[in-house]
Amino acid sequence: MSPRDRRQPLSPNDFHVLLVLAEQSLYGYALLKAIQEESDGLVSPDLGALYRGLARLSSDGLVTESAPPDDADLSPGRPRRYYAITEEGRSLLAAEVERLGRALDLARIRLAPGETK
Amino acid sequence: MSGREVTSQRGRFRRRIISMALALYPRAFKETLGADFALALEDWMADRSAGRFKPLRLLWVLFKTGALEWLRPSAEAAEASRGDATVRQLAIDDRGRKAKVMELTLQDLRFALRSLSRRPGFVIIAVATLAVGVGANTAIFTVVDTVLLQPLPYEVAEDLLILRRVEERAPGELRSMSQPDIEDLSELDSIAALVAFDTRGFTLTGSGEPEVVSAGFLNEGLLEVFALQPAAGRDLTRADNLPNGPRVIVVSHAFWMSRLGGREDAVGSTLELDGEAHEIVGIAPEGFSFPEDVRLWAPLYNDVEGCGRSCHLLTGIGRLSDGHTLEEAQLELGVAAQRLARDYPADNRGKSFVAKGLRDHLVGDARRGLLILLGAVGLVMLIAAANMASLQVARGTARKREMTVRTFLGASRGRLCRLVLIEAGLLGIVGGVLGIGLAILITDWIMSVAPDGVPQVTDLVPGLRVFGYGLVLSLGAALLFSSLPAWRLASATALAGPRTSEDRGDVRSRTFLLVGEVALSLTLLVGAILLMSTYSKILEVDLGFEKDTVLSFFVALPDNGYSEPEKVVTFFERLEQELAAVPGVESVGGILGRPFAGNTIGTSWHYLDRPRPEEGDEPSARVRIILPGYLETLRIPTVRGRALADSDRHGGAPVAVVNEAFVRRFAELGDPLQREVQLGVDFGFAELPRTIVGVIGDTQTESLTGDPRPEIFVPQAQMAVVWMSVVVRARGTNLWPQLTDAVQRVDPLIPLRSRETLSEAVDRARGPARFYFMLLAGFAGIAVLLSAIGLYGVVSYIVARRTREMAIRLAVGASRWTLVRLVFAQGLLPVASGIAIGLAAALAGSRLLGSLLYEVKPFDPAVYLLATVVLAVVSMLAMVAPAVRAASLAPTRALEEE
Repeated sequence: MSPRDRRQPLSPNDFHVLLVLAEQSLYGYALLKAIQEESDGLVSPDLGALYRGLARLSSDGLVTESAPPDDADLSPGRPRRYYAITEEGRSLLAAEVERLGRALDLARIRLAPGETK
Repeated sequence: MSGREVTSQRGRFRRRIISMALALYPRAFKETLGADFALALEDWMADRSAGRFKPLRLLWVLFKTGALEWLRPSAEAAEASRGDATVRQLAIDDRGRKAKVMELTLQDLRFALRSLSRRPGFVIIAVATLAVGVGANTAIFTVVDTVLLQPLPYEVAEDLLILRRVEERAPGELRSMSQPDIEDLSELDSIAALVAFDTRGFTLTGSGEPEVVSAGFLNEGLLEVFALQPAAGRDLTRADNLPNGPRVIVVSHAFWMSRLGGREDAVGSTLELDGEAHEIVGIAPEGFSFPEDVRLWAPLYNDVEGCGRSCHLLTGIGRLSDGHTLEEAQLELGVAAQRLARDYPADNRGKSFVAKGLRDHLVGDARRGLLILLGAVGLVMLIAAANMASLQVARGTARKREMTVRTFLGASRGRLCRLVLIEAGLLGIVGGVLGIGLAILITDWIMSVAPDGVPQVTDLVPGLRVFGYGLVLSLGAALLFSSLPAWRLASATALAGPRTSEDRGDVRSRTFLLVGEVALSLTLLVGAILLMSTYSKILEVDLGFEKDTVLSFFVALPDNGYSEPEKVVTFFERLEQELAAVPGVESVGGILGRPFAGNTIGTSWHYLDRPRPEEGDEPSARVRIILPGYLETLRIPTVRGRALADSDRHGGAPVAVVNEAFVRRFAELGDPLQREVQLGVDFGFAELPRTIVGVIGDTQTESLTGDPRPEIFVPQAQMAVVWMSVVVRARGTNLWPQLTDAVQRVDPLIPLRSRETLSEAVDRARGPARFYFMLLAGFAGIAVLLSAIGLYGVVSYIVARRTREMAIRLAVGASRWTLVRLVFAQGLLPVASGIAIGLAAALAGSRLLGSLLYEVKPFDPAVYLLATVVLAVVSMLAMVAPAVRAASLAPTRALEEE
């Protein structure tokens, strides 16, 4: 069983983690803020849920640790760990988006005004 | 404490909580993501936009994440479940064995949870009782741990000592030292390094408004004493400390980071202090600061030739040589004191030296108070535990039927015991966690009310061992005090049936516990009332001056610009005029040696019309140098003769006034009025014989509770000292900006130091008495409340048990009043015995309060009577509800239910 089969459909948390990381690698708290922002606050895991998700995603090889991006704000204090999406993660996300797209098309058809089945 | 310090303290505190919680997480999570998770949590905590109740949410996230991680199947098991079939089977077998044990425990846990949730009242009382006991104990343990137990933050902390002087005529008083004495004593074999220090403010100018920076003044390098190396540059040396020597300073690491931006080239640069350029020659290692929170160190520049051994302005801080003890050092100091007395009889006769460990010096009188508080919370914990035991006994009786059924169904005695203990353990954990939460609140509160006399209390950070202490205490109390009821419960099940002689045994053991609770509460109550009387006596102390609406600040004139005494006098005259012109100001004065400001100067003196005593045998008194408006501003009455006046100037007849304590103390030398004295101090102007022209009222100046000291007041215009506490009586106390402007108009480079109202100063002096009174009163209140809950429980239980009997009595014609009397009689016997035992315990224990009491005798009968009455009244109140229940019994219904 490939990770893809086991993971799909993705939980909203995992989906948004991958979605955010598909654009840029981020450290933990910044990742949380980005998820809240991109989901208009609808998806707002607590940090524990986020990190447990990250632990699962990285053990499935979907997310990996990465070097900080060049423009990272290296504020003083201990260095934060950055997370990046892997190729496998990217293709899983694409597959999930495709699945969601199909579901969305179906929903649009069924909910279109004036049409009943 | 500044806002930033509070924030960083909170940050440290949170970090500690996070790391403690993570330590309990499964290893896999800890090792892979743990550290980063902790950082993210800190980010979250630091994020101001992250909503409210963050501390509570943090605890929840830590708990939930940890619990879910533990419940997650391990990675290997997960791997096995999708891998090779044999491996999978092996993994399942192994998990099976573990799971069986786990399952049984989980089953018990689930059962315990279910059974507890059926009795919310019991759970709430039990958990609250434990939490209160644990909270009070953990909070006080935090204080004791920080102040008395944790090592000082220096590697050689155990070898550090503080050196003070003792005079033969006042052996209890520790006094300052002279620099030559300290330098001589630094040669002793048992002392590796010894430095003379003093703390004062430096005025930092040259960058905006003048700012006072707290500085340590030393005769040589301090780092050597603490066996430390500077972070950069060098330490001060004895060669720096020469009259008119180089102006050099060492700055603290924090000062270097915050004020100098951590610049590499800071060493060698200069700062303008007291109007003079000072070269930075070194930076102290990170975290080092002594004494207290000084930010830079400078040489004393003491004129050893001029001031010498009679100038007692310094304290010695030293380190024992390797292999030497404090006792050896003390012996050597004794020999050295004799030698110095022989060599310098004028200055050193009757003088000896006392070495104290640095911690003893810092903790001082606080040790006794803290240990008493620790004892008090120990009693509170005992009461809480007794309540817990009493509750368990009652619950045991109620569950007897259930346990009997379980035994018949095959449960072993061990299993039943385990069940009861698991319940107790759960209560213990919940009570412990809540107690720790409560302890954090109490600790926070203690930090805000702690007086100056208790060191380090402004920096309490409950650590792992404090939390460990709280949890172990709670679990221990819950398990220990449940084990006996558990055993009895399990063994009693052999005897079936709801009502047996066991019930009477239960009443007996609960009554016994109750007697103990009442006795302990009374002991605490007596202590609290003794401290309360002390505090009220302290509030009543006649200060000898009117403190309300008097503002005060300290002014120190730098050498630069004020080296001539005339200039000093002119400065203060102009200052008086400027301040008097401020709208709202009623009168202005000044004094060196303001009440509760800590800067006092003693002097030897003698009457010129009597033969001069030998040097060293002269009487001594405090000398207070004042701007004459001081007496009017503080409304200190003139008793005889006249007060000092503005017309008493340099060049005119030198005068002084003395206080009544002076007249009393030196009565055998005759009436002081109109006699000439010679003082042994010498400031700006050369000191000439003075005529005593008046006697003024006594004031409490150095402590609230001590006898007033003999004092000689002399006018500043004839003395010209460069330091002075200015006092201003005003309508209202919100005049600081105007007063600051007035000072700036006289000299823009002079900052106002130590601003406070006299009311604040007096309040500060009352701090320790208030602190101990408030804490002990709080603990006594908790104790009485817990005992009342215990009493209520026992009496209610008796009423419930005797419902049938009471119903029959009612049915055969007994009055309801008889039942009420019956109920009270049940409770009064244990309460009375408890009070009797408690009185005896309090008589024995109140002696421990000793020096914490003032004008109250530890055996004051009124105190004991009051405590007895309070406890009796509270006990009666606790019995009202069960008595009413008994009186309103409907006999037929009660009998039907039975």
